[in-house]
Amino acid sequence: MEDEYMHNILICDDEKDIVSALKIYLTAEGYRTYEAYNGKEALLILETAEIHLVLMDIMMPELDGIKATAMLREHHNIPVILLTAKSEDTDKVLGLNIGADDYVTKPFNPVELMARIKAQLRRYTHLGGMAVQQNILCIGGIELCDPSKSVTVDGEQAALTPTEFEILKLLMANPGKVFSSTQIYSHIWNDNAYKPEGTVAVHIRHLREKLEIDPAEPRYLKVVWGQGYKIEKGVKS
Amino acid sequence: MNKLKYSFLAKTLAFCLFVIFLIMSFGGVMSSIYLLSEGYFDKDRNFYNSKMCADEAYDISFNTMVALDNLNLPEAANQTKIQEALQSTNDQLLPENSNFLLTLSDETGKVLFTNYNGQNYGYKMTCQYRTWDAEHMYTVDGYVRDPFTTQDDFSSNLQTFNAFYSLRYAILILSAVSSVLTLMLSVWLIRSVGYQKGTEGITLRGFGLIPLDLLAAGIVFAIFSFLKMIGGAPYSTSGFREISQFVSSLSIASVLLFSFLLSFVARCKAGKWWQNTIVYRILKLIARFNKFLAVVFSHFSLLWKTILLYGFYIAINGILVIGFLIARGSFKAIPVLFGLLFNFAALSGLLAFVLHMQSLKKAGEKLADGDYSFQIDTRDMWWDLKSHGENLNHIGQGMSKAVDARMKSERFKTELITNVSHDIKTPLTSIVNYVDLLKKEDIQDAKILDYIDVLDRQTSRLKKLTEDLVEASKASTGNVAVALERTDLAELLQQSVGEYAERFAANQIEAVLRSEEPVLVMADGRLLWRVLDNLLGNICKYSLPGTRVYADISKTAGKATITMKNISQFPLNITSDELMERFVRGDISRSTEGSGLGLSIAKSLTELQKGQFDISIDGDLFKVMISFDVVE
Repeated sequence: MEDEYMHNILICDDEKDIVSALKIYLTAEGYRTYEAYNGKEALLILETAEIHLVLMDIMMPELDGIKATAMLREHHNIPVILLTAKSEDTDKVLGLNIGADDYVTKPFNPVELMARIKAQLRRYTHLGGMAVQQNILCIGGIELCDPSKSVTVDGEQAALTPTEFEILKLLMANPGKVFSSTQIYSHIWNDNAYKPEGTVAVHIRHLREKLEIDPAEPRYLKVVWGQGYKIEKGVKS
Repeated sequence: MNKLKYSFLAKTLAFCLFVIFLIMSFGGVMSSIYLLSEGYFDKDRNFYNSKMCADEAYDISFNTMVALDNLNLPEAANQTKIQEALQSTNDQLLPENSNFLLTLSDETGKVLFTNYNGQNYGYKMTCQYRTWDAEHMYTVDGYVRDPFTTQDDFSSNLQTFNAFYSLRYAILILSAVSSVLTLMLSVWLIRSVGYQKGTEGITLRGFGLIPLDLLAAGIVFAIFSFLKMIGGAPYSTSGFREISQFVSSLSIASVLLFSFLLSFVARCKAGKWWQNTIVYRILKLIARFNKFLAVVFSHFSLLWKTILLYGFYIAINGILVIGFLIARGSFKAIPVLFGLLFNFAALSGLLAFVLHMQSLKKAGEKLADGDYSFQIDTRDMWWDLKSHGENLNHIGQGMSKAVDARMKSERFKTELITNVSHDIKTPLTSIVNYVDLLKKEDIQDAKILDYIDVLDRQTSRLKKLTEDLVEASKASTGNVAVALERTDLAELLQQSVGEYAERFAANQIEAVLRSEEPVLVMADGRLLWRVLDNLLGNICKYSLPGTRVYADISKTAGKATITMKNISQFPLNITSDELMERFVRGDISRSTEGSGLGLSIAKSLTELQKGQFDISIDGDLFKVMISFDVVE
């Protein structure tokens, strides 16, 4: 897909070293990059060039990332990933509410950032208005096709074991509902002689590693600590 | 003038002059009043129409009539006696003996006696006289000769009259002048009293040293004794004698009072005139004694004070009872009334004490609860109560200051740590990225690869350290949002252990999970996961490979406890309390991954959820217990 079309990514950060490091990574991945060192420059570039994704730092001089994102959203619907040293939950909520699509805290893992960029671009370019078929469960970027027993995440095939597939199907069939380990166990294994030892938890852990970009901070398959697990209902796509 | 006030001689002289002028002015004024009332200042005034002349004429007529009236007495009723009397009257009124003429007639108009036969006279008077038995009514017509024929009372009165008459204006002027002078002298004396040559300010001497009230008493006594002395002088008909008597007593009184006034003014000038009085000295003595008693009393302990007060109470009541027994009839009401009043007062005092005690108790409770801003109103308290209340207030103030300072410094620390770690994160991002880029380069040199590996490891450690630092400072200051809800500890433990399944396996550790039915507690699942995350992370890092980790939940006495036990890979040469301190790890010399903040964060987060966090170390056995109150 990337061969057909080269995506343009705008990197906006006041720290030049970070911008050039990101440029190296993105160029290596085959993207064309534009650089801006504050919010104002970013908005100027957006007016002239065709940009497909923006990486936006929050704390910048002149115009900060939050305000720039809000202004950008008036004319563009391209994906925006916020980068910041702030790791407060309230900052994340504010960023996402203002119109950002994802959020990465510094210091970030470059591999993870690349994965997030890819996922956002895929969804932006290919998955915009896909028709929902029968027997296909679809939550955010995850699609579960029951007849073919296949699962795709942001368009990429995920290799799941049959148990993992059954657990995901159960959770996706009831989005937002919390299932405790016991409930999941008895449903999947059809067995009440439950031996805990974290069996379900281990499967969920594996599922998260396969579905999520950052398993520690899942977007879809959430752990409700002390209660159970659920698939988030209204995930942005 | 101003210099003179320091001269004792001048002042003595002035005082003498003052006395003289005072007497003169009094005398002048009184004489003037007398002359005015006697009509000396009237028009056409002469001796014959003066009151002096009329009085004298009346006196003689009266004496004559009395003499003749005596003749009516039965035993004296003989012609010889009458003739003798008439003859003696006639002799008395001869021109060479008297300047008076008279005609005596009875009620029928019959002339009994007369020596008036048309002589020239200057004054005529008539008076009537009824005899004692009311049988006769005599009429006297008297005449004063003009000119006088002899020296008698009339002529001496005429001289006096003439003297006063000629001096009448002089007396007026004299009294006016001497009054003005007296006033001036008194003003000057008042102004200059108290000054002494050679000394600054006011000096009190002589009278000035006598206590004021004593002096006043002496002056009053002196005035009264003088007045008594003068009042005891023989009575005189002469108006001038009376005037001189009045003037002298008035003058003495005035001089004494003025002396007193001078002394008082000098004391006022010296200031605090009341201090040199007997009354003041007595009061001061009483006050000093009371103060002494109060000081003695205040040195007693509360126990002795109570005993003394109680003794006093009993003594007063005893006296009142004795009084009641002794008193007779309606007097018995007095001790009863006093007894009621006294006991009511004692009860009020006791109640006030109890109320104050109560407010002190309340304040103590507030302090114990940590409300250091509470202050007791000690204005109405006394003795030990007051000092106790003030002590409590001071404790509260000191504590609240200390707490404020502590809070401020903690807040400052948290802010500092948060800001610094934000600032560290930006360069750290660059380092992480470029180390990663280096790793991607095609490097064959094993040494460089080794170096890059060190860089990679240390940057990830630095990253973890900054994150943990922020979290630890937030958790320890309670700067974390806590949402307590019903949480199943068994589920949570399974989930957590499940998360770590691979890492346990990688470290050759076997997890043994023993949990019962759902165990519900009020906790924030997200925070509790971070607690368990830290603990399980530590277990992975520090457990001896090939050993088992036990994680179980027990429920006792309303408490649910998660217990995790593992065998440490290294000897734990440290106490459990020290382990929970920030930046402490099981083995200080070791420099593996981790910030040393894990246990501190876990403890703070547990306590934020109102749970208890305990560590115990038994040899190499490391045991963590987290307990919460069970909810149904």
